[in-house]
Amino acid sequence: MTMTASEAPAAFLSKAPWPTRERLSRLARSPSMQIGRGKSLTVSTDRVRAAPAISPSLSMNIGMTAIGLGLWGLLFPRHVSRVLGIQAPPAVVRTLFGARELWTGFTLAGDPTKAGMLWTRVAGDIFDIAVLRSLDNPGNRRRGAAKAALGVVLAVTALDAITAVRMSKVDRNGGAR
Amino acid sequence: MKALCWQGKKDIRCEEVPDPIIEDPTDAIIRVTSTCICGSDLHLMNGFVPTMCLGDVLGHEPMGEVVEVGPEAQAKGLKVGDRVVVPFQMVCGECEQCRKGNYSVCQRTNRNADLAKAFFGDTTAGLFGYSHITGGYAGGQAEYMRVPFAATTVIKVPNDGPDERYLFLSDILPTGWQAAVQADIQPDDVVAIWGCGPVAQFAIMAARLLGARRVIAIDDVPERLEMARRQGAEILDRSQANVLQTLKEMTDGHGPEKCIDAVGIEAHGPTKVLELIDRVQSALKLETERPIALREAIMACKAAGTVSVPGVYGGMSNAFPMGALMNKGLTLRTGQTHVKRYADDLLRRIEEGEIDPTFVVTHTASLDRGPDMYKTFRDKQDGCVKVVLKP
Repeated sequence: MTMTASEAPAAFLSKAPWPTRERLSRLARSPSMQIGRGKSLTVSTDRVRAAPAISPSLSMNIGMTAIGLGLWGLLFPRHVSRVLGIQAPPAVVRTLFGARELWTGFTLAGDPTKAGMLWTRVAGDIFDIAVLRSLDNPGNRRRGAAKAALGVVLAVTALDAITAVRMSKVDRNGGAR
Repeated sequence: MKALCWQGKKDIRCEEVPDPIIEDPTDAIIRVTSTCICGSDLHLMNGFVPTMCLGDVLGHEPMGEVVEVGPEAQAKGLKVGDRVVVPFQMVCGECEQCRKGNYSVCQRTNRNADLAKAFFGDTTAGLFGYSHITGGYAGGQAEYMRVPFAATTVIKVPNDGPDERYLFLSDILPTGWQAAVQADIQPDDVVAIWGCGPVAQFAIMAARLLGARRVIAIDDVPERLEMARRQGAEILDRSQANVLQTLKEMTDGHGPEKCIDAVGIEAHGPTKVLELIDRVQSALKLETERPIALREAIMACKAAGTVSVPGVYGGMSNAFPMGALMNKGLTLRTGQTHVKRYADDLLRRIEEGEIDPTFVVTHTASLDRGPDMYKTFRDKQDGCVKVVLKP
């Protein structure tokens, strides 16, 4: 069978390795699972299933990352200060950074549906931005690191805020009261 | 159609999903009229059971009406309009295990048998709404469900009477019954049961029907203890007493002959500190569960006694008192329930009025209120013991 000129782009698009809805759906229905020692199995699943929600996984991963940051702040406050050029006692870094991150991290890792805790993180991010802005001055020998950290925190703030908005809007009962 | 779906740890949602269709000649489609939230659904909700995928449809305690039948199921006698209870497991009725009556380890119905073998060493039966390790089948907390191997799986029930009369044949009634049967209860036995949830309530009932001299129910939730007391059990409030010491005192110093752990994977206690140790180990992936009730049951059991475990476990447990188990010569019996092994007998007892399982129901709600009811059940709010959902 020959292909007309108008059919060619459509045929190309259908054969291209784009993540089409059907391909994503098929991938979701045939998940690959780790079974240890580096081995994995592709398993069967049911076609009767909801589209996977992304926000709960994001919330969980934010929590896990916060636990890592919290441990850094709690166990190595002097290192945090040295990296960013912070002029504050270790106890302050432990409390305002380490303990805060650990608290939000454990809460979200334990229950990623807690949208209120995501908003708490956004408030904490704004505090971090204010601190990092104050460190972005010519007198700070670690100004470059502070600037880089500010960029990272701005991105994290956006992620926290988007996840908080999405998790706050979830209607788990499908409209029922 | 609407269904309750798992979207991550502690995130259950009522969502639109595709309608089920006949995919295999052995299938039937059931219009679900009643479905329950099981204690083991909470383990899924809380992320204790591995191999769940985002969007999975939950539920393994449904019943309803057959609305569509595959040709093979029809040839075996299932027809549109039949009122059926759907057990939590599907069975082929033909494999080596099914022929022996070991239905919960049917060798043909778990389409992810290789995954189950990798985790457990051999396969289990396919289960509804219970992770991919048991087949990845959509569950019954939905308006409709597909039942593979339908003719050999479902339990036909009479058309009269409320759903709640038969509904618990799907899981918790035979599970409580099997717990007592596996304890091999003798007329002189004292039976201690950890937990007073729905399975334990039926285990108490079964232990009494099977002739136990005394039944001691252990929990710390007042309304559940009261429900156990109304069934004739002596109650032990673990928040007020040391369980091991009190059991010794109640049984002439040796402990109960038969112990039933109806708690499973997410037990609490015996002290805040010991529970925290288990929680930390779980968080660090050093163990996957908190086998607190099981440890207590083994330590409490009289020498040469039996420990029966209907409580669900999923992975690895630490500080398991193997020395007590071995040196006291205890028998340990467990397993997912072989529902079909007990279904005919239990259905007869229900029809003859010997058993009325409806007493466990405390909450009834529409399907779309399911996510809220999961929380109510999990947090034991409002005296919640058993939730029935009406799609």
